[in-house]
Amino acid sequence: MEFAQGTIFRSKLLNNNLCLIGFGILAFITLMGVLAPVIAKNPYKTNIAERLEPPNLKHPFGTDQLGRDVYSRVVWGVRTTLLVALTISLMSMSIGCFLGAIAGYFGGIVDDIIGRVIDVFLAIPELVFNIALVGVFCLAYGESIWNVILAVVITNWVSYARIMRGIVLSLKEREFVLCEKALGAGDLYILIRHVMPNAIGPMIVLATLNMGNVIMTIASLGFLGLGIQPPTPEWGQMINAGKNYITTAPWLTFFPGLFIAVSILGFNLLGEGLQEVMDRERIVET
Amino acid sequence: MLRVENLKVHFKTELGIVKAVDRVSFDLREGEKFTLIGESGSGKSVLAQAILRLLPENAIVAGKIIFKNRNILELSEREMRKLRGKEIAWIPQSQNSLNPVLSVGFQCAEPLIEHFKVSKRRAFSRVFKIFKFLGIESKKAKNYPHQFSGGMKQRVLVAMGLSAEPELLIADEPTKGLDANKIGQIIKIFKKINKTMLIITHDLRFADKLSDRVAVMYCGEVVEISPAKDFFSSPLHPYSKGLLDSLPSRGLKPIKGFQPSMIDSPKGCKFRERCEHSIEACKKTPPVITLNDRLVRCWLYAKRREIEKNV
Repeated sequence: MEFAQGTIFRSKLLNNNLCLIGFGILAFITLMGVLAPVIAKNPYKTNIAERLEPPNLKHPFGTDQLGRDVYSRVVWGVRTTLLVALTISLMSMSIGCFLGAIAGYFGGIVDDIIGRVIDVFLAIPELVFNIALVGVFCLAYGESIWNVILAVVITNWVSYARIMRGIVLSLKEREFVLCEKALGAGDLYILIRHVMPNAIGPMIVLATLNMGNVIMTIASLGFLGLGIQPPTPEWGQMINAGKNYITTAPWLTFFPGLFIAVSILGFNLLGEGLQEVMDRERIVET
Repeated sequence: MLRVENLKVHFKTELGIVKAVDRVSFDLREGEKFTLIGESGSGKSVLAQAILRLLPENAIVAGKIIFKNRNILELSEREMRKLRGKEIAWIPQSQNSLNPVLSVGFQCAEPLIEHFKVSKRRAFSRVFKIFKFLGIESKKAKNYPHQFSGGMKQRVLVAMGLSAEPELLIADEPTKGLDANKIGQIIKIFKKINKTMLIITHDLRFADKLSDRVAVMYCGEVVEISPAKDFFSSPLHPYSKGLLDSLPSRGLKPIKGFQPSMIDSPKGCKFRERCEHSIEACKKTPPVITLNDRLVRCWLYAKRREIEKNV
């Protein structure tokens, strides 16, 4: 009885296949990233003598046009992708939740301004906007991993803000808000301490599902040569480099592509599963 | 202690102006339990929320609410926040008024932490005392609202209201949705609480067992204010009589007709059309008549001379 809620939640999680599979995939991939120095070799070491070798015992995923081990590059790529995607998600979630909550709670002109900004961002195709932003940042500040992060955050916070606004809009009409007011609590306090904790569930689901999108965007930018720059191992950029050899050395594109697909699958499965477990209505169309 | 003078709360709606509270005056004496009785939609809850200025923005409030020599309607929002919970506390009517994601202990400790800036630990030890007083086990403090039954939630709400030691407690339908057994417990608890209380209810038996004085609201107006004993033995206003006669123990006789709409309520006495004793004078706004320590808003108690003057 004491911790009934936690126990029920845990058993629901453990009985949800989507959650388990998604979590398993992600745990496996994350573990690869963490153990990269142990299980993979130097991803930067070139060896012209062994260039474009097909998968074999020494190089399980083959080698690329510069003779680098594709397996090692893919494994180190886990770190790049996950770290960048996590940073982007956390940043856009904090910005989006904050702005969305303020818009929903205070309404009026604040809501109008934030609402219109959200509309503008939603009107522009995300990837096109990202490409433009990365280009501008590159010109203004030079090459940096932060260009990609900032560009994606700028387009990505919108979905959090929109959903947070909707949730807060309905939460602020709940009786406990009036009750808190009657006990002398201020608006900001009520918003942060009482309203926002009630929105954590859907936000976690959204963030998980969104991680897949973010990974896709990072890879797309990498493929277009705008993302994380070589020689840093990154999946999209590896596919880009391998596309010229796709008929003769398909392993150059296949393995990074596989990792992109599987990691996105992992996040989506986990997100869907969490959504089921949290027993909320669908908040994201996938 | 609290004096409400000629309070009006009107809501502007598309259909017209809703006079939810109209020309209400009463005063609360230190230490008494004052009950507002009335059917649903008679403006009781609006009146309570007006006292704490919790009404939505489309409410037009006029009149005076004097609490300890200050007019509440003229206080700034900041002063209002200091007053809410600490000087006047409100026990909401819905048991959904507890936040589902926070432990009940924390929610009860909050007003203390907010108003007195005490440490969490001290706030909790005070909360445990209140819990003990209300018959809630201390170890339940870390539980969440969904683990509580309706009666327990009601008690937690009372604990929340009590925690910052307010001078005045406003309880909005504390018996809503509770069975007779639980109502008995709430009566016991309320009797133990040694504070000035404004209780809002439509449960006449609850009011009978608890209150020192009773005010009857009909259609936004207070039609009678009497000491509880006198009220239940000999009500003055025809509506009060009708209310008491509709009790099962007194014959289960309903009042004929319906409560008029608050948008275009009848001129003069609002109860006129349902009243068995209505006379020609009732078409004019009835005067408030004082009979010893009782007040009644009805022409039947006016002096003949006055009635004739108005017909």
